[in-house]
Amino acid sequence: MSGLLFILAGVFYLAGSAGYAVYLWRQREVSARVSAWLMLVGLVVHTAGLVSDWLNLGHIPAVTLKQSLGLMAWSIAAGYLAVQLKVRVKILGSFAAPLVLFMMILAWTQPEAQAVSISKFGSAWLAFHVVSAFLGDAMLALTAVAGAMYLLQEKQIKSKRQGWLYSRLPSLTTLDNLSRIFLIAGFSLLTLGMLSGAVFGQFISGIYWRWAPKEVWSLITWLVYAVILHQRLTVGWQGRKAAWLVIFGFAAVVFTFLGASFLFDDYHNFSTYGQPR
Amino acid sequence: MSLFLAGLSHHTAAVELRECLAVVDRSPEETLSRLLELPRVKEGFFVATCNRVEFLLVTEKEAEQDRVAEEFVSLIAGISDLNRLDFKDSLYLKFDREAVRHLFRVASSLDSMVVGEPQILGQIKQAYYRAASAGSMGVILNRLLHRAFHVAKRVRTETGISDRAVSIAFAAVDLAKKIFGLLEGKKVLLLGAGEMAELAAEHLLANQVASLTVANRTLEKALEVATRFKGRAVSLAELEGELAEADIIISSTAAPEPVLTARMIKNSLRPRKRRPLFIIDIAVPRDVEPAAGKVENVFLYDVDDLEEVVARNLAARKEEAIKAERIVETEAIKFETWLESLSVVPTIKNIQAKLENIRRQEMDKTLHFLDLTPEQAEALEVMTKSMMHKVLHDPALFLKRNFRNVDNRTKYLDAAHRLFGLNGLAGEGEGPAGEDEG
Repeated sequence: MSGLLFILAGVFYLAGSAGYAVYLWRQREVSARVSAWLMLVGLVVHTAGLVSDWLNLGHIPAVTLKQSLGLMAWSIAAGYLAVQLKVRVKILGSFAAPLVLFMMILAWTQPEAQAVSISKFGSAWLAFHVVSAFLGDAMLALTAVAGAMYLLQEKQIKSKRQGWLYSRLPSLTTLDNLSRIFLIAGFSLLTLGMLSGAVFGQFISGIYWRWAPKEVWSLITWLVYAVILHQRLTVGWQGRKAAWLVIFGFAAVVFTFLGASFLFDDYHNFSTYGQPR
Repeated sequence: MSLFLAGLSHHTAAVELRECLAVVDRSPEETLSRLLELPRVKEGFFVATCNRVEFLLVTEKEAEQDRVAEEFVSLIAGISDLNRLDFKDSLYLKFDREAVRHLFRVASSLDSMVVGEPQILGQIKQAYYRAASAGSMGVILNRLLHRAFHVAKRVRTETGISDRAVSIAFAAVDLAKKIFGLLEGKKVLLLGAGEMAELAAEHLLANQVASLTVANRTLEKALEVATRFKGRAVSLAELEGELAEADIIISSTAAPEPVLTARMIKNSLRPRKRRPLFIIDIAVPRDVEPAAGKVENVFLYDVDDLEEVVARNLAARKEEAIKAERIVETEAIKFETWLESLSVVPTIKNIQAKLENIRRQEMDKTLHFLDLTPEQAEALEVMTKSMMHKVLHDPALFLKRNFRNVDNRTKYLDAAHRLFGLNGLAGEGEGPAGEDEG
């Protein structure tokens, strides 16, 4: 049942990405509008699939790598659509929708792993921890996307060769602003995710913080973004440097999400979730 | 009815000649009434701008084109005090579809000196209102001008012909928008003065920038320019302090050495809190060290850069113009079809066809559920046909009647087209201020 919903969601994401590619090419308002709706329908179908999985498993479906990648696709779609409501930069879809599709395909290629089901996973704290951490990571991914868009447009203007992208991308100020909004949202959610994770740890094992690799790397990521945010908001860094920072910062996110799980032996790992060490 | 267009433009005539012909615009009502006094001319319209003069006349079908042209040239020679030989070679004459096509091209700014510039449409509209209130426009010119406005609108929205800036000042404003988004609240610093710099400043002010500061070698000159733009004047000695404030700098001093060095720009980075800075250097020799453009969040364009942007945009406009020509062509054919249908025989035939069509449909519907003998069906056929012919009899006779004034026939034909909704004309607004313009 949920498998079918995921495939259907993937089809909508594919159609949405294709529509946004058309928008990038032809710049007709209507293709952006249709694509946004396709992505939204995809998100709703995807949500239905996740809820169905959640009810079946008895806990949030973010245990195996396959589930986690799928949830990441959902988070990016949700994050981009939510911000799109506030900041109307339609061209963002042309960059964000393929990312959603890519995560969805990546999830689809992963083998169905044996999911361990443990009753304590049903805790609401865990769900809160997972959802905020995933949405936080997704927002930070979108920060990097906006940063990359900024650098592309900056290059067009600085090099004085206003090529194909110049008329399609919005102004530098708009892109810088977009990146800032994603950064603040992502950092806040990441903070919430870590705090709720600590509370959940305290509930199930009586320890807030174990210095496990994933926890340490999360802390490093958090510190990296704390510094970036400080540079932006207090020192006033903006534009080119800020854009590079959020792109580098995202490397830390990727490493924490994947690297820390595969390189180190940890209770957070996709394969050994919840197994007592 | 046929159309006659005569004109001269920057393509065919030098400015001295265009100036001389512009006298027709001094008393437009008189020019219009004299146009209408020409034999066989039924409707008249003209538009005069600094780049062109175009006359448009509707003549009787029987009128010989050469005769009309001859009389027209004499009239213009009379009004303008020009020897007819002086301008006859510069004058172009166009008839019917060619005339329609030319008007559509002019209105869509395809024939302009700067292709895609928007002013010409406004000028034609103004001339239209003038002619309409002078009463020189009839059914045909009214519709033709409205179609011209419609075509211009289509060209503007369906092609990118006026999307890109094709003057240096506009190109600079476009770039500023790509850097800052909205220009509201941005601060402009004007270094030195000069026509092009002031033009750019004017465009920026039109985009609601917050303030304008003028710096000059002599404070006196700075004050003069600042008063004109309601800005603030400073001396060049205060430049470093002003750098921290400005978002956009337009520089055009006559200084032989750079006024803004890369070091000055770099030093301003911190007090500016790395806000983006857009520098437009219009001076030759340049006022700003080229290395300043390498500084973070600083965007430096000199005259050559802007000229290159303009050249690229012009090339892009040319491509869009091809699309626009296609629109013009289709619309010109549509108009010609309408014009041709606006004579008595086709009109009556069209009404007949429409009635016959309705009769056929209703007969089929009725016969479908009435179980009639062939004789009864035949009787019904004859009855409906004769009803149709009787309905049509009076209107047809009326339209064929000898009108003393040919113009009246055109009016009634047009009314018939509207009443019966021929050529999809039903419900199209076309009063003097019809809806399909703007």
